[in-house]
Amino acid sequence: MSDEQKFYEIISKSILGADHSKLGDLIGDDYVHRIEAHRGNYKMSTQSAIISAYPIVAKLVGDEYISRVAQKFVEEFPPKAATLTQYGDEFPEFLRKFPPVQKDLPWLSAVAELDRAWFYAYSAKDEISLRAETLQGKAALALPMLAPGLNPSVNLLRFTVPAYSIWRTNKQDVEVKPVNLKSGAEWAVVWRNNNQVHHQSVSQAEYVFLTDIEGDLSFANAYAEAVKYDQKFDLQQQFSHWLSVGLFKGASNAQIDK
Amino acid sequence: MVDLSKLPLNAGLGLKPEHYDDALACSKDGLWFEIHPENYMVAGGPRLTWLQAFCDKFPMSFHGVGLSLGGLDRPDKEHLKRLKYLIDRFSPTQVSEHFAWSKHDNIYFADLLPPPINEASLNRIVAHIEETQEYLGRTILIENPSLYLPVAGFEELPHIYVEAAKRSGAGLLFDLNNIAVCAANVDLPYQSWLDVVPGDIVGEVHLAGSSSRTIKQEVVLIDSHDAPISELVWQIFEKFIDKNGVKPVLIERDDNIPTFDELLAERDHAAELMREFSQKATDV
Repeated sequence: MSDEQKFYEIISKSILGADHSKLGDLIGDDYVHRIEAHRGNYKMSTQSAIISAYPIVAKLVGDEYISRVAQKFVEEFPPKAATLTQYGDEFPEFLRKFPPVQKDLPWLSAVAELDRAWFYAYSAKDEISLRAETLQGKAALALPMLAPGLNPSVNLLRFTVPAYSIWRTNKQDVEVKPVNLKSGAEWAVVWRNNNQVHHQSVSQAEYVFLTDIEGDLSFANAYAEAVKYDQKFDLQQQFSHWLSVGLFKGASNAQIDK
Repeated sequence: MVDLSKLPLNAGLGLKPEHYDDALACSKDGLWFEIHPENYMVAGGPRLTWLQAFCDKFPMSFHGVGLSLGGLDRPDKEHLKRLKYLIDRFSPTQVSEHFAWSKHDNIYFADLLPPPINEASLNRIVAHIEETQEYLGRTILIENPSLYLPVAGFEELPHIYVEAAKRSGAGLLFDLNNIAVCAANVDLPYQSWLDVVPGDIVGEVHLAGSSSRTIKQEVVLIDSHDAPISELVWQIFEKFIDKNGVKPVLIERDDNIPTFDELLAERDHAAELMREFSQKATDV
């Protein structure tokens, strides 16, 4: 290893706390403690990035707990890119496997998924959604065969715990409402329309319907799957609602005519 | 009509999301803004909508923190690509980066670390600046680093910083808080920077606040951008403009962020000092 390589290796390892035994060779033994300035910057920036990216998780567990968990996460998944606003994709999965969380807060990783979905929706590619005006004058018979896909900002989520209820009340209610942790599975959709992030709870049939649309199935085929979960599933009502809130990807006249 | 082709010889502000509404509505003469492009490297959404609104109205400086030009490895291709996308889309008035490193062995340290101070390091940094400028199709400014560690040869830092700019054709972004931090931490007098930095290649000046951290009973001055600009930095600023004339000046604040009006007052103070100097120069 060249002297140049050693310089970067020694400082890097000293910041990460792995090994600062050779730092004295670079800066003199009397100054080794100064590495704490850089170590502190690294720790503060990375932990702040996680706390900012997961605001409801942070709110639920408090400052001290989130700082400790974030520190453990950073140790296991140090950032690889300078885009810290996007750092922390692995955090929900990390929480799911983190023993203290697994034991005491088994729903926390699902709440983290919702925080992440909010960010994905917020920062997703700008794309025009399918609008009712585009469909005017088209043959009614053609619409069931349309397979528009979903707007890139749409995130579909399913949970075995009432994670959406926990997340929603902590995000938007002035007074947080109690949630029965035994109330069972939930499904949710988080998306952006007109530059604002929206979210709502959906039924299992709606989740299946939207997942199939996302998988480029036609409305007719997605309906055929959804109705297996809810015999009263109303395609017309579903189509109108999701169309009005900008969930479907914009289709051109040519695509619709085809 | 505001000239968006160059930064005005006036004072600007670091743009924070908390201030978007107030900042966009502000019509102070000569005001300009600076952003960290890394915060806007997203596929779409409100952040980019806001950025477009500011770029349409104000001269803008894109001040990168993630290229790690002082690192061992060449600038990250993916990061360069994302930076170029933003530059091509928003046409900022000015682009700058740091004479420092922040990435090694695929870990990003979210800090601006001092490079080795020697000829090999200088050659490498020059090559990294040249590669960046070639890829972006424009020249950039390079900012001087703060020092907490007395790395070997630190006394030569002002010289190799200037030399890197001269060899690569880059300009200088001269951070006066960083030279105050170096003076406090490693006994590198701020005057040694003022003596060496040639005003004619300084395209922008940074002013910021710092904070003290006690580490093993020693007080270390941190370039934290979380406090008002210190009296010492204002004094250095006056010395700088006295020697080099006025340059576009940025007030940086990245933490403990006050109201927009408070930041604007600090900016107005800088603008007033610049006006006074220009008036004096005209009178002479």
